[in-house]
Parts: sequence; C-alpha cells; structure tokens
Amino acid sequence: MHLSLKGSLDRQPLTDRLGDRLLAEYGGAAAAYSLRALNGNGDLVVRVRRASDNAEQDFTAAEVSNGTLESFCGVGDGFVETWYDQSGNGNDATQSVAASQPKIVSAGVFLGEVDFDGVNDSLETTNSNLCNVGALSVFSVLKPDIAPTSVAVAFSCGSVVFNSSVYGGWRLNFNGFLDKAEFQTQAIGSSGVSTVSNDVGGSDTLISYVADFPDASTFANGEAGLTSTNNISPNNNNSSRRLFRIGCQFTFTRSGFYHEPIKEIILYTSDQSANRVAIETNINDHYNIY
Amino acid sequence: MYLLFSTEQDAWDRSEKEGIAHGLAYHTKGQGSRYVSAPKETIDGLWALDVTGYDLDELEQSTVTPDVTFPQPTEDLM
Repeated sequence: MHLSLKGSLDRQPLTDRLGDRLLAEYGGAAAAYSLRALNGNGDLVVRVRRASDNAEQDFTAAEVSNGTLESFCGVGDGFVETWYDQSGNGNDATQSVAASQPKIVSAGVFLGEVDFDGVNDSLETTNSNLCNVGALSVFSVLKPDIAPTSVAVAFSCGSVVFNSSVYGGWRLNFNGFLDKAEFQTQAIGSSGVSTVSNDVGGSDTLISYVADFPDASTFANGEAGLTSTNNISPNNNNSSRRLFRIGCQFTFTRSGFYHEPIKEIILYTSDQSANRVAIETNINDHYNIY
Repeated sequence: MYLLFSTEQDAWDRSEKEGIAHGLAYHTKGQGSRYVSAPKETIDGLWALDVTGYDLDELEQSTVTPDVTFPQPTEDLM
C-alpha cells in the first residue's frame, strides 16, 4: 500500500502540526492558554456552553478548527466555560456565571479567539502562586484594547492601582489614551507602580514581557519597548485576590474589564530571556502577525 | 434591571435558582456553568443582581430597579 506523506500532512489540521509543539520545545510553563494545540497533541483546549440550550462540551484544538465546535453551536452563540491550561499544571481558567463568559462562536461562526465584552466577562483560575514571583515571562497574542480609557486589563494576578498602598500584583494593562500596552507591577503596602510599555495599534499583537526582578523588558511583535532595571517585584498577601484572572484585575472586586479578543497566553514563573526570540518566532509562525 | 439583596449569598441563591430553571450544565451534568449572573456590592452595602432575562415572580417584578450605584477603585475614576 502506498501512503502519501504530503497528502496526510495536507489533511492534518493546522493546529496539530509539529510547529505548534511550543510547550514541548520550551518547557516549564506555569500556565498556557490557546485554541491551538501547544503540545501538538489532542489535549482539550476549551469547554463551550452553547446559547441555544445551555448544553456544554469539551473540545480539542482540532475540533475547534475543523467545524466540530461550530456544528455543536448550530446557528447560535457559544461561550467559554473553561479555557484549559495546556501546561500540565491544571490551572484551568473557568467562569461558572453564564452572563460573564467570553464568546468564542458568534451566530454559528467560530471567532478564532476568545472575545471579552468589557462589561463583566472574565475567566479565573484557583492558582494564587503566580503573583508573588521573583521572575516572570509572559507571551500573549491579543487585540489591544485601545478604547479611550486608562484601565483595560487583559490578564492579571491581584491588581495595580496608582496612588494607593492597599493593592498589589501584576497586570497587562492597555491605556487607550496613550495607545500603550503597559506591563505593571505593584507590591502591597506601597503606592509605587512599575510600568514598562510598548506603543500598540488596533490589530492583533504579540506582547512579550520578561522579568528577573528588578530587571524587566517588554516587546511588541518582537520590537523592544521600554526596559527597566528597577521594576517592583509584585506582591499581594491576599490569596483570593491574587488569583490569576483573564479579562480583568481584582481590587476589592473584579474591575478593569477587557473589551477585545485574546488568542493566546503563556506564562512562565522564570526568566525566559534566552528563549524569548524562539518562542516569539514559534507564535508568529502560527499567527503571521508581523 | 436589578434585584437588591441584603446578603451576597441570597443574591447567589437567586442566580442559581435561575440557573436551574435555564438547565445550566452544573445542575444537569454536575459540571460547568452554575449561575446566570453575578451579584455586585452596591455603594449602600446591598447586593445587586442583574436580572435581565430572568423569569421574575410578581413580587420581584414590583421591586426591580434600574438605579444602582457601584463603588469603584480610585484608578477607575481617573
């Protein structure tokens, strides 16, 4: 029997190709969320509630992209109940409140991303150990929220609030007045806030942040933004407030809701400066952002 | 439109009751979505539940209000 390798590869979903084995090649991620298979296998990536009858189902990356998800949702909308952590650490991001679930299918069409409404959508892990860290590396593909507001938090641990000493943590914030992506840290007990930032536009962007505190750098589409040698090491002493959340931060309540789609978030609680370019290349090879 | 509750738990209980009526997965499969909407604390210390789309009884219909004020972090006011 003759097997055509090219034919087999052509039939293979894009999300299952070897180039997507990012987490296998650059191991040690603390949490990783995407709609592609970051391990290049059949891991679950998302659990979706369909609006028509509130039924829910788990999906792999292949099922998300090959029409299975759209078939499940029919002509209606689909919402993310769980964005599964592909790092192997079980840091699944969930939302048990139907009205607060971000959208993934709109009128029967897969969006290719997780879309947050800027009102109350958010996903939350049960992990409080990603906040008070000595080193942190973050890689994210998202559409910058550059609406004219100073606070739009794509994801966070705890919160960052200027002129107050009762908050602390880290966040990727978007300042729509300045069109900047701001990676910010704060330690509870101090009103000081550290910011490293990049100029951004309104299209999909790969934002990278690597820090071995107090040193920190940020990049947008591989281009260096600001670098700091005195970044505040993030800290929050409240284990429920400092949980890792997507789509908001947590002050005394969820706030700073994000109003744009997110495609991917990969977190390391280590300094990935040496791997940064390679990880960015892997991501850009998939999304063709720049 | 909001219903106001004196405790957060009462608000969550009402949201869960609606979730049961809507057949959310937690109540039918034991896993997944459980509540329809989330309560938020008001500036008066009450708990407001957005009941848009809820099947309200007569008493609830007579007490819903569109006027609720929520506290905001200092930075959000900038």
